[in-house]
Amino acid sequence: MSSTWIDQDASGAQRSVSGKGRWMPKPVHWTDWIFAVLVIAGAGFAHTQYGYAMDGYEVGILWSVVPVVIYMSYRWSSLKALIFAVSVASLLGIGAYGGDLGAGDQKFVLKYLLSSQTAILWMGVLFVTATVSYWVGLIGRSETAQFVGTALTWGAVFFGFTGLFVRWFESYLIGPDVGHIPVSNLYEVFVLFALVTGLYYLYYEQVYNTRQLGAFVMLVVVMAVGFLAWYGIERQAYAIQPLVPALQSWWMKIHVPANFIGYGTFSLAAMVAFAYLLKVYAHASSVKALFPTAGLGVLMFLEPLVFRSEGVSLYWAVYFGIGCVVVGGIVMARRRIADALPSLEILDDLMYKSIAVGFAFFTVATILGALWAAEAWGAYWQWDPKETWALVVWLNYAAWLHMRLVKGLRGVVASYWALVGLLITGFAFLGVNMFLSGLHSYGQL
Amino acid sequence: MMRRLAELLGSMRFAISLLTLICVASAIGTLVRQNEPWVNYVNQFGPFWASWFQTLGVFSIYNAPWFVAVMTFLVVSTSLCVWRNAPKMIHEMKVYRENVRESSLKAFAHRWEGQFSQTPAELQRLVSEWIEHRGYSTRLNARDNGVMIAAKAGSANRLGYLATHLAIIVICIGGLLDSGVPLKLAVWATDKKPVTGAEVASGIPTDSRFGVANPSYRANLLLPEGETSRVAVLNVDQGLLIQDLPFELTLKQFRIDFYSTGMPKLFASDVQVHDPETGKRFDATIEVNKPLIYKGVTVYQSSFDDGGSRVALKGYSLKGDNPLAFDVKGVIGSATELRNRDAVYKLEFTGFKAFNVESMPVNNGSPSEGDNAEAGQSPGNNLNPETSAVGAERTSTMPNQFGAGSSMSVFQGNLASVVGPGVKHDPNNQFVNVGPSVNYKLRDSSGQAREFHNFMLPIAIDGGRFYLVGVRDTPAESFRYLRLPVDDQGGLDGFSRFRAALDDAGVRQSAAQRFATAAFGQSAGSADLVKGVAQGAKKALDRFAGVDSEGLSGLNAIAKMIETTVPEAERQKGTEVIIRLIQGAMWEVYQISRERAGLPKAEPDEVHGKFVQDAQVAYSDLSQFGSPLILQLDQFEEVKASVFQVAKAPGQWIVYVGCFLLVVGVFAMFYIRERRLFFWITELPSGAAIKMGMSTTRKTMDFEHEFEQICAELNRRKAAS
Repeated sequence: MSSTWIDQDASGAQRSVSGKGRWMPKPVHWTDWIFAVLVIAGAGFAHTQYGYAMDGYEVGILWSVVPVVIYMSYRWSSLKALIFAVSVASLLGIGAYGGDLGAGDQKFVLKYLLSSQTAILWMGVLFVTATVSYWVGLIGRSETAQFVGTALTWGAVFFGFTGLFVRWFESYLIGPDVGHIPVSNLYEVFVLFALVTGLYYLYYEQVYNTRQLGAFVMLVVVMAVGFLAWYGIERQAYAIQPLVPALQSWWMKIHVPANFIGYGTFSLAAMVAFAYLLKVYAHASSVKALFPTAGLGVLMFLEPLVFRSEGVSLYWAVYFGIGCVVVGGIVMARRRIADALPSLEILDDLMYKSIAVGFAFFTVATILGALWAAEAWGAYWQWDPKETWALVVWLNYAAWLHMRLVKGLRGVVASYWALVGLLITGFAFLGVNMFLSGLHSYGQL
Repeated sequence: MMRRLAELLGSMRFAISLLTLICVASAIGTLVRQNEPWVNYVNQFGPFWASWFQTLGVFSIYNAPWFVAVMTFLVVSTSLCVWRNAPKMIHEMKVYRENVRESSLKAFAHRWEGQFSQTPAELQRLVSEWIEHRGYSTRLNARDNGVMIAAKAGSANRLGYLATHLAIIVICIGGLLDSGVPLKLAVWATDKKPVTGAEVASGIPTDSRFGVANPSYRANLLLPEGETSRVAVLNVDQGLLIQDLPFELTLKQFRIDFYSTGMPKLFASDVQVHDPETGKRFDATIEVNKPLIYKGVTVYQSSFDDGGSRVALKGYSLKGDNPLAFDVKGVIGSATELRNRDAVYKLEFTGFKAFNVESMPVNNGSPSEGDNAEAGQSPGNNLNPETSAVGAERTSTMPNQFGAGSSMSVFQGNLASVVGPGVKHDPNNQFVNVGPSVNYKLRDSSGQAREFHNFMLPIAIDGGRFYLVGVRDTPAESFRYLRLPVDDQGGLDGFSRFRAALDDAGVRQSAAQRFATAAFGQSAGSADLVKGVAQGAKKALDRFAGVDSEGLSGLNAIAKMIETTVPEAERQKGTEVIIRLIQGAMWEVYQISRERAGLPKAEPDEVHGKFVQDAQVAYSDLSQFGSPLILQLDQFEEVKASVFQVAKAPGQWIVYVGCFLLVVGVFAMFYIRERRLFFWITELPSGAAIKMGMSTTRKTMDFEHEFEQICAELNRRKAAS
């Protein structure tokens, strides 16, 4: 008989929740140490190699990222492989350029793999195929297909991040005065949005140990990819543009990514809410109950084009058509889908968690934005349309969380609300750029 | 009564209603443009609705009294909520509830029971140690019949609640300090009287002035290069108030820099600050994102403007037979009077730009698209990309617009160019500085103003070089550009001479005659023919010049003439004849215009030929131009001005503290879970029994997981014992 229960705890514990354990829930593996060393070495390399392009704040940002990355990859081991692969690929790409932008169109490895546009194109292709795989897996009850979906999503995230990093470098090749982090216009942040949403999904996929939701979450990512394809190819928005004076600030490096963690997780929550509603109504005898759900689904596809002033082009007509077919198909196959989905409880929990993460980061992002605005525009808040809509989004989710935490709101109403929340978020993200002018008019359509 | 009111105000229902109201109002504020001139609203909504909306404060919604009131209510409601709940929460955080009765454990939804072989004392020690290791803090309550271990974890969650709600209050209060409200209060309390721009010139009365001690303001300061100011201007409803600054600011130089793409790269003001109190004097540079902070006052680069550039213009009449230019001089921002034979105009110099970077097609096309983007722009320049001197987004509006007419083939074509680095290869366009431009308004005696936008240098378009003269009747329109061809000397005089000659009946007569003679006069017996041709040519020229042609002139008049005089069957042939007639006669008009100016005869080469052709088109377009004269920019001396925002925001740090609280609170609320555990340990004949209950304020899956884990561990230990 032991004289303490703690030792036993350690031997038998998969996940202990002790005070220390909350932050360090698992033993530190030797790979964690190696990885930490690599990250520090990488930051040192970046500092010595590219320090000339950073100011004091940016050096600060670089080194603050180091512990965050080390801790995050300790908590989520898969991140190590991703970060490692992205770093190697980015450095390969950067090396292949050899200081000459023209190499991007000549060297095979750049032109077909690692140059920013090519990598982002790969990201899009992989996201789309991943979505198809997830759907095949969900409807065909094929674990293999779902596994492939997961693998492809990882691949897409890898290519996306590599593309962004290489793009960052390319911007300096265009001209030292042009170089900047690729989060400065609508095209770049759309890539970021797809990546953040994809990555968060992959995290939850592991935490909840279910691949059934990939089919849903990837839909919103594919919507973003669809937009990117149009915006990049048709509008040629992929071109790297130099920064106007208002954007020349280190605040951009933290404000924008924080914002997109918010946008990404809100979208994720909305897609889970969609799945939730589908599961609830799958066995409803009346089809009527499905109308609001299907309607919201269609609206989401409609959002990118609903406010377009120049009429609907063929591309958007096709886009919308596919959207309707997808939503229709989902509604038709709802029973088969619903049976495979995880329990309502899990869906509900996931929805809450991602809205909570999103809300926390959105709060931070809005505050960072205010701090930046105080420096650039002379006022931390001046009711600019983008600011105002950020406030609307924030208040919307604040109300959602109030109702949930205080009144215990969950289930169908919370799901509808989360879906409507995405519409509002979508408007704040896209609609404001489309047809409200203001200080944030960096990514106009 | 008071209590019920307080209860209503502090209720969450009320708070959520307020939040909804704020959301809706904010959204309206983004959809209706704020603080625009009254005329715009009347145009948009009509006088009836506009005045209603005005009353409701829709046009300045964020400063509307009711909006401020809603915000105040939100603060009150949140404060009441905190006031009522904070003591409870703090109490809850502290207490362990170790006095909980054994029987009430039965009511717990999460509970566990089991027997152990250890003694109660031993078990109590083991359990305490174990759950303390799990992050709980414990408290014992020994009773006659057993021991109660009460444990809690994550109490800081309640701090999250307090922090977030306090944050909202703090932020709103800080925001209120920096809003327009203190200024309104100060104006009201000290009875300040706003002045209009005209009065400012004659000295500022003290009751329109705020001293250095004013704690909160956001003022504007337009400072031309080389000038010094100790005051800034506050815009209040009906006029201006003057704000004294604790220092003197001198603008030494305002600098703009562009990227090769034409996008603005830098707006910077080199200033000198002089502190009259200490006599300190120092230089500083103010840029966007790099404000100057001195003595609690922050100076931001907010935009730029013309600081009164001096321009010299050459005027050309577009009517009558005088081809000679006259000189006009002026300063941007001022006005002068122009007299011509039959009218008096007020000439207002409204804007000047030394650089105009436009995306120009490499081969042909016109820059008009680029100019359109600029159309709605007032002479002042905001620093934001939307309205900056050369807009960033202009590039995107240029070449590859996916209009309704284009198809997927464009898509495919572009797809190929997408691989590779993120650089656009656009061989068709390049960015060119097309030189200085001037904006002016011509106001006639009835007060109607027409606005002009003229470029100083000729611009290469469609294989020729033209002076572009833009005109519009209202600011809502975009400029329509007239192309005036460059003469062989590189100036506008040639066109002016040509125009004047064509408007002269005598010249038309002799040009027609000369043409007829030159074409048919050599052969004998052709007098009749010559006469006929001369008559025909004269008639065509007359029509072109707008004589006897039903108000039409130029090419339209000719088209009309063909339509009415030539039978349809012969139209093609007839048209050719008339065109040849006009071409020939126009050439002679050109020659006469040169003779009159004492210039040598023009050789019939490509340069002169093209000029005559372009001049005809330009003349033809004059009828749509609508102005009796144009003013061409001849010389300039640029004076730039920087527009600063000068602010004292005492609430800023309060708001930042609130923001910090908010972030801490939000994370505490979401990521610290409050849980309580109760172990009731009683003695058994052979060991001890545990009754366990677990509770939380918020049921989440994590809580369920933890409960399951704890039960599993207890089960394992029970079995082991």
